[in-house]
Amino acid sequence: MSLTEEQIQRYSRNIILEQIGGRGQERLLASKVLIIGTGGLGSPAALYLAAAGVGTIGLVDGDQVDLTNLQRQIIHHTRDVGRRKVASAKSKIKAVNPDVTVRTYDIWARASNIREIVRAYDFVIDGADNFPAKFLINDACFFERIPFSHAGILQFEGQLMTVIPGQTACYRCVFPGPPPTSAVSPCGQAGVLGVLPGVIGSLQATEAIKYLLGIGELLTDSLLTYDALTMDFRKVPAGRRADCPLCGPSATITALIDEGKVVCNRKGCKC
Amino acid sequence: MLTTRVNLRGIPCPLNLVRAKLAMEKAAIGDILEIEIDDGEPIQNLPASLGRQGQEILETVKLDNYFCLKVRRRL
Repeated sequence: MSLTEEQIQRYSRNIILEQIGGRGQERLLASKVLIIGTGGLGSPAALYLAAAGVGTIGLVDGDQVDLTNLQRQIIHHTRDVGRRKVASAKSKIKAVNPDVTVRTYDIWARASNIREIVRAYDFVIDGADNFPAKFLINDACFFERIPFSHAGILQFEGQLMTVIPGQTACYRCVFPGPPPTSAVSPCGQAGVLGVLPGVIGSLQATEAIKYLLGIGELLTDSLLTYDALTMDFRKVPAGRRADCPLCGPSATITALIDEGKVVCNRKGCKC
Repeated sequence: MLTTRVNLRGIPCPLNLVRAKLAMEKAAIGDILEIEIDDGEPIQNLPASLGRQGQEILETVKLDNYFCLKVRRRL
């Protein structure tokens, strides 16, 4: 593959970087990243990866755009309210960079469908908004040995961690299973600062690019936490656990399971 | 060891660096590139940028109204 005149100009600021160059850019163009959830985290991740020239981007989301999403899900615009999220996101990605091939999966990630989707990608971004999906993504990526970036956000705080399955700590090494549903606010009841997923989702995109290019040091075996109120970033060591139920030597999880339904007690809530 | 001539006259900064890097990637390590660049910003910036990126600047020759920068690919 050789870069076109337009690509040389479009990606000039990447190519200039010593760690990227023309070869690195060609590598990005040949790469495939799957983004699960085109919401707060998935929006900036998708836009930056598209702008960077990641050649194939997959989008998984079974939802439609809601007016309440727009405060943070920046890939969706006001006129998209009511539109399928994957279609809305695809049109913005194509507008940013027509080089990108976008594959859309207008479904919810489930134990029955997720493995065959993730296996076609080089890297996965967990942009899900609920614990069952996060564990599902972790487990599917472990079984398929696909590296991924986990992230979570709530109110003013976010966290992320990169997992190279079988080599570095997985999400279950840090959190063995989902918290009790009574301890979770699955929909909008807890609130979230709109820019928070912008910060965390952008960091996930950074990890994806670093992984694809094989440059720098990945955020593995540690959890990065960010507090927007205090501007504290903390990197907490989190190594592999011998008693991890998924990736430990005496693992008890040997197949994908749906970790219960996302429940919500808000009246009329469809989450 | 090959020597390749690359004409980057008329190409402004920083696109001349992008082009020089792409030409460098096509060469083998140890090969020499003779890069033609304009006076002004290009001659002020390009040798230093390539040097910072680990390439060896062998010489800079002033021609009529442009320069020829001789660089050996090191990385």
